[in-house]
Amino acid sequence: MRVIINEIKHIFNWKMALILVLFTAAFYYMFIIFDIQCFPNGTSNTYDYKIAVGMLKTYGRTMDTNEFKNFEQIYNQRVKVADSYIQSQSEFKQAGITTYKAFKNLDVSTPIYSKLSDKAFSKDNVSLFEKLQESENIISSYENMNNEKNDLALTSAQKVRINEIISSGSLKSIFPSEIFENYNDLICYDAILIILCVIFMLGPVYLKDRRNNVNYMQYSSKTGRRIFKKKIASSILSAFILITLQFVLLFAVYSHNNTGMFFGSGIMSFYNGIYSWYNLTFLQYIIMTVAGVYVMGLCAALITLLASRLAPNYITLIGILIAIAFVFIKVLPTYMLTHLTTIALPQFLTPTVYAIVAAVAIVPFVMMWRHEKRIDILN
Amino acid sequence: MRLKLYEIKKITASPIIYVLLIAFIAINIKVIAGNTYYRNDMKVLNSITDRFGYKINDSMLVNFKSYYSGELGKMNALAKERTSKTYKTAYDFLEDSDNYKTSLYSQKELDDIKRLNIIENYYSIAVGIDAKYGKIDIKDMGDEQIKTYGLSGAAAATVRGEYESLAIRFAQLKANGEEKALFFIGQIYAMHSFLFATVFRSMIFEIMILSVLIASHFANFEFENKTQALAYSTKRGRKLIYDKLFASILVCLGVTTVLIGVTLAVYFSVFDYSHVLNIPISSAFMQEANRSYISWWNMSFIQYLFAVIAIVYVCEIIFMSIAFCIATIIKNNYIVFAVFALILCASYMLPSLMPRNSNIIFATSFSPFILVLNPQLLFMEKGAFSTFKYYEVITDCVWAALMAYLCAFCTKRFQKSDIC
Repeated sequence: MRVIINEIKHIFNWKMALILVLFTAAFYYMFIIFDIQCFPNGTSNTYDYKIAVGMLKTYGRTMDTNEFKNFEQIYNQRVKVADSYIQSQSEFKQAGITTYKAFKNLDVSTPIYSKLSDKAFSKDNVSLFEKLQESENIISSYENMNNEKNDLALTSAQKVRINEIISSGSLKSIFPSEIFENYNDLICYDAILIILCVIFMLGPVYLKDRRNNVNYMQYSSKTGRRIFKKKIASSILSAFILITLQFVLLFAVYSHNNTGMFFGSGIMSFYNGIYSWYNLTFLQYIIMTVAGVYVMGLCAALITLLASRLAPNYITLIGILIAIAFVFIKVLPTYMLTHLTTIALPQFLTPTVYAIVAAVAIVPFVMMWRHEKRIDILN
Repeated sequence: MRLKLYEIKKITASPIIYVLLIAFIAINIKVIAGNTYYRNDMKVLNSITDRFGYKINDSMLVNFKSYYSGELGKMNALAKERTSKTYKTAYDFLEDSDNYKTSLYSQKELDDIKRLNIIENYYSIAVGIDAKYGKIDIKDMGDEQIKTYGLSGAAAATVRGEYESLAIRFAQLKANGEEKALFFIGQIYAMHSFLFATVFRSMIFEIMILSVLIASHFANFEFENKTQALAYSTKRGRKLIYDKLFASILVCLGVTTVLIGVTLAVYFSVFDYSHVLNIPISSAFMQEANRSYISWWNMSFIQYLFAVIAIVYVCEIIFMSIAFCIATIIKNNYIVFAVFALILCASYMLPSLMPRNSNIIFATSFSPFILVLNPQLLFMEKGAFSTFKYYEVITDCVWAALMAYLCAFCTKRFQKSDIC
């Protein structure tokens, strides 16, 4: 046990930890802070979010047909307010616009429209027109919810699943795409950061001892030979600690987005683009992705350990780690993390990819442990 | 001299450089091969330039129109004979799904009409150039940039000044007729950004990784192999650092040449650029998705390509020397790589941390790391922070001089440093 704790201290020595902290800060600044500071992104998404929060309060987690009628009534009342506003303004009278409908039908490229829309969308209207626009989007999405998606090239399994989703009414959940995509972006960037940190920290684990020739001392005793296994244990523990710390940081920052009220909503919604093989709520999706990142991180840790054991010097190690990092960052996330359980990928694909990556990570070590007990280190 | 050769031979001590080089070349070839969907369509341009040349002027347009009308007439004659329908354009013909019934037209005839559709595209863009370029207002572009980035004060004044100079250049561009040259249609094929943004950018970052590895491999070779006490305790041994610098530069240049050479050889054998080598780089046909390429200099495509390659060479030497200087200070290859990555991140973060109303935000944008982010926009208008006539030249010269001084300083310091 003491060996494992000392090994963890070796992995987290102050130089590596300092570089890690600086790199995390730089990565957050470059990629992650944007999704926190600019959430929701843009006026239309801001109103999507506000309207959705209001809908959650009034209608609960889903919006069935009665509640939808209620929503339409509120929309029509607001249109009447907009009508009275339009009729009271001289600019609209000059252009000959007397109702909100006429205003909507104007060609957006004409200068008349820009002048009128500047007036309408200005601050003294308390965002009436923005709310109307977003409400129209919501209403049309809801009405088109059950339409057949014939324009996409779907396999039969996908078609069956989509019909299942539509008939079970899962799409009535209230969950704007802005929130889902925002979380998806955050978790994908954070996964890249975590993988880079894990690979960086665990690179020198076996190599450092080999370059310092400490392995001669280690491999000439039975306890020393077992250090191979203890290093694996300490590396997995360190990776686990590192990933946990990164997630604590991420979710501390993510809590500023105030999306907690959506945790119970199903992720498939008339207002969100994803179709999933399983009926997940937002919280379940978060937990799934976090678990996925843990598995990815631990597999990256083990594969890094493998490279560390096999590489003869630091330059070769860096080259191999670059290749590993490339695979984990560019190739794998599409199948393992982005839009987890989406029906765009076959249902068996994601678990298979996870199994293959875990096998590639674990099997070499199982094979190597027997060799390490007897290996000759002098040549 | 022999020592320099032996230093260069040290590259064989670690096969990783070769392996990475081959892996990177393979990745580049895969990227190029993945974009060959429109290869046959692009050959139509070669037939057009064979017939009319690449310069678009009034006489060329007249010839082009008569050729196009003739072909359209032939198509309509064929259509009238088979289905007694005529069409205004080849596009209308292809949109009519009745024409795809199997016995109606042979595959060769359909292919000919598809070719005619492509020629139509070229013709319609060619006649629309004047209108399109007449609408471009450079000063408006500058003001939009100032608004987007929230610049004020001295920074905004600098941007406005630069865009005014650009407006003068743009007027000259139009007077020279540089935008009136045929090229693969940017909106469809996006060849300019494919070659320079996709292929060149990945090449630049691949060579960056390789040059950092090479620099730290050479500089720290003795420390890695624990022979530093032997090598550096003699007078000639201490001067080895100069030989190492020489070897690093040479190997870095070699690696750059191999990677760029092989990748571009593959690229130009896949895509036939032989007819468009001399067109001005500001051609209107390069425009992709509302972004026009307005260059500061009147360069032909081949001159532009060589200029970009020269910039890549200089930037890679700069990256290599940054890594070399770090390596003389930090004796561990792994940490050198990490520190270089941190410097890369810092140089991307620095301009956004600067106040938006002073000129220092431009000083921090003159960095080779930022320069290589967008190789398709070199020597062109590219946003508020990098639109200067001599941006690339100043960045490269200043940083090359800086790195020359820094390398001289670090190697001199190494002569007297403690090696234990």
